[in-house]
Amino acid sequence: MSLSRKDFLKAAVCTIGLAPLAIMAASSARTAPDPRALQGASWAMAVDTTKCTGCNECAVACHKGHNVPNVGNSKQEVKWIWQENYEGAFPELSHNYVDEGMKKRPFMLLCNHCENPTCVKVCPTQATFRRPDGIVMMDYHRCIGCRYCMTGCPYGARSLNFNEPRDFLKEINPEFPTRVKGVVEKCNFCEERLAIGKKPLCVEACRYQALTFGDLADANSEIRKLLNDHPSQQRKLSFGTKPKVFYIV
Amino acid sequence: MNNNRLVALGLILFVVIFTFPVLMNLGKTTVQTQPPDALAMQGLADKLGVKNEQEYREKHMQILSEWKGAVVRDGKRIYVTQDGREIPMSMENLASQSQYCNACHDYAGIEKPKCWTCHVAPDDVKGVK
Repeated sequence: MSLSRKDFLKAAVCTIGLAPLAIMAASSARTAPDPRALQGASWAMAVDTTKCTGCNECAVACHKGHNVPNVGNSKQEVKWIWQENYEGAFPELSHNYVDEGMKKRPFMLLCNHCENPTCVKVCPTQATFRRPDGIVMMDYHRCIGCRYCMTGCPYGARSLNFNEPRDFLKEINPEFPTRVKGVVEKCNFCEERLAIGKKPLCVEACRYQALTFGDLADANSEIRKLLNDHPSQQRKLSFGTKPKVFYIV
Repeated sequence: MNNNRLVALGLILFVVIFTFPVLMNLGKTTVQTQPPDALAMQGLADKLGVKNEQEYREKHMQILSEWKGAVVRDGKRIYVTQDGREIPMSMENLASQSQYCNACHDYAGIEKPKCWTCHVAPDDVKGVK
C-alpha cells in the first residue's frame, strides 16, 4: 500500500487535531463525583405550611451544621433559614382581610435557588453561580463582600459577615468550613450532603415532615406529586427570578 | 576642604542607617532553623496524591486550587491520582497537618496559608469559646 503525499498530510493534520482532545480526556479523568451523590436536574423545596408548627428545629439544625454565627443583632444577623409571618413572606399577597389562621401561621424562608437568579447576574467576581442541577452556589474563596448580591436578591436570603463569625460560634462543626469577616453567605441546599447521598439538614430535622426536597425535573418525584395534589404559592413572583421554593397553603 | 566634618558625619549616618536592620537583629534568632519534618511532609504528599516532598513543594498550590475548582464548581469530590488511587478532596482531610503548614511556611519565609481561617483544623475546634 502506498500513501500519496496528500493523504499523508490529511492523516497527519487530523491526528494533530485530535491531540488536544486526548489531553483533555486525560486531565478531566482526574476528578470524579462521589458514587453516593444524589442526582437531580432541578432541585427544589416544598414547605407545607399546614404542617409547620414554627418549632424552628430546622433552622437550629441548619445553622449548627453550617457554622452560621448567632450574632444577636438584627442589623448584622447571619441566616440561612428563618421564620416570617404571612405579610413578611408574601407582601404582594397580604392584605387587611387575610384569614386569622394564615396571619398566625409561621413561614420558613430560605434561598429560593432561582432559575433566573439576580444574585448571580450582579456578582462581579462570579463568586455566586448556578450549577447545572439548579443549586445557586457560592464560592466563598472568591467573594469580596461587595454586597451587590444582597441588593439584588429580592428575598433577603443573603447575609454579610459584619463580624468574625468564629467569635459568635459556641461550637464549630468540623465537617463544614466557617466563613470570615467580609464574606456573604446563604443557604446552599446542603450541596455538601447531596454530594454524599443525604438530604438537606432542615428536611431531616423537621419532625412534622413539613419540608420536602426533590427534583422538579423528575415527574415521579415526591415534590412533584405534592405540588400536583396541593395548591401552592411562591414568593415575589413578579420579580421574574423563577424561585424554586414552594409554599403549600 | 571645610566640609570634611559634614562628609564624615554623613558617611557615619549612612553606614548606621544602611546596616540598621542587621544591627537590630544581632544576637536574635528570628528564623526557625528546623528544617521541614520529612515524615509530616510525606504524610501531606500522600494525602495530596503526589509522590514525594519535592513534588509536594512544587505542586501543592496548583493541586489545592484544582481541588477547589472541582469541588465547588463541578461538585466532584474524589481525586483520582495518576496511579489510580482515589482521594477525598477536602481540606478537613488535611486538617491534622494545619500546624505543620504554618511551620513550613514560616521556615520558608512565606505568608502563612489562609485556608484555616475558614476550613476547620482540629486545633481551632479546641480553641473556640
